[in-house]
Amino acid sequence: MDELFSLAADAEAGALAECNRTTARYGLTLTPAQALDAARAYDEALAGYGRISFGGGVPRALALAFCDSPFLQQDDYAETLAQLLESFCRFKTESEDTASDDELIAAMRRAFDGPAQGSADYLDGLSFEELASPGGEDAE
Amino acid sequence: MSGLPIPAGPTPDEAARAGGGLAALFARQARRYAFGDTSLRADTARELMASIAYTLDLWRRENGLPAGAPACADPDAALRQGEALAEQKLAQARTLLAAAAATAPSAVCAPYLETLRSIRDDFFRRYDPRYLAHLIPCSIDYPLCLPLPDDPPGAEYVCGYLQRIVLENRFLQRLGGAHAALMDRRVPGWRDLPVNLYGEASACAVGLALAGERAGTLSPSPETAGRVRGALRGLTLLRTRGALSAAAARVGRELSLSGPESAYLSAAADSLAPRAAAAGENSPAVFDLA
Repeated sequence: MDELFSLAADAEAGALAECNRTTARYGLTLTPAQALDAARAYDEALAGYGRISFGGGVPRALALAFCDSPFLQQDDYAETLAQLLESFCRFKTESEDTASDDELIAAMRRAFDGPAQGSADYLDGLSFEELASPGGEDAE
Repeated sequence: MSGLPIPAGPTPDEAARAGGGLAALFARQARRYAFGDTSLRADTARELMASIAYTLDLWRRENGLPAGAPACADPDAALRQGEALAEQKLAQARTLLAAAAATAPSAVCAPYLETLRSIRDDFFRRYDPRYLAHLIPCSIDYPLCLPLPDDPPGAEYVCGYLQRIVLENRFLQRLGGAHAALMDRRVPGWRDLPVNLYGEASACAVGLALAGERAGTLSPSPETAGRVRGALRGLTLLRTRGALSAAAARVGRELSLSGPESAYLSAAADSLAPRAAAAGENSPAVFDLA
């Protein structure tokens, strides 16, 4: 079933590549190969956290939600995006699906621009509780 | 249920389309369950898929289709109709629980009460005919005399369980409380144990009938065991079945059991036949008459 319902990475990559039209305004673009890598990283993260995807859109939504962050740079955009996607899967699982995709992405963006100061590593060090609690992302 | 085109049989192409249709159906159902999100934990996804499979099977059975037949040209409609059927089963279970409560014997054991309470308080609160129709979210610890298979699950299982409880209740009611005295004699501490009351009482009643005595008292005489031994001595398994069937029929007449109640008693008596045939001179013990 996992294989049957996992959205093909290339379809997700295509959706990500289409985001370039928006993200380019902020100096951020992905090559087709980078988009595919990010989509595959998301698929692997889903599988790693024991999740089944039944619809696409998270990589695209995350790219669009983060593209106007002052901390994102073209140099490490692809790498940061892949890391954010993995963090998303972890937060989603830790939340026991109580947080919606949109709520999680919004919370991640607040933490990324706030206490994380653009560090995907810092964001990845937060627990879901720290991410979700008001001001909790200030946790040391 | 009607209104949906029912295919005559799947060709390979149709089967492939059905597989794809099922995947798409799962995706739509999962999105609804997840309120628009795009992923679920794998264990949750598997439960959703199991629910879809069960609900479509319920729809198929209702429409007289074989297991595994493609749902129809519109699987979403089949799923919605299956959900409506699960809702109907849920309503039927409520009616049966009320009947079980109304017919409950005067003396029951704690697991009996706890099971009915769990159905009332847990099952009806937690059962989800839309997304998790195959689950039975309650504790059913009180055993039936004739256990149900695990399939079909969900509200159908609870309906089947309660139907049998009502049959067992009505039989015990006709004994006017004699079953409690029997249990006191036969099973020390029975009020706290998950032991089926009907099984003990019906075995005793059939044994008494086998001995040619009145069954409704559940009170064997000093001669009962010897008479049972004599009635079954030398019988093959087939003839033992026949003797028990005839004894169950006598109990049914004596207690004015209804057709379903008599059929259930006959099946319960039949389940004793292998042990009775194998017990030889100890056969009275099979009927709680030793």
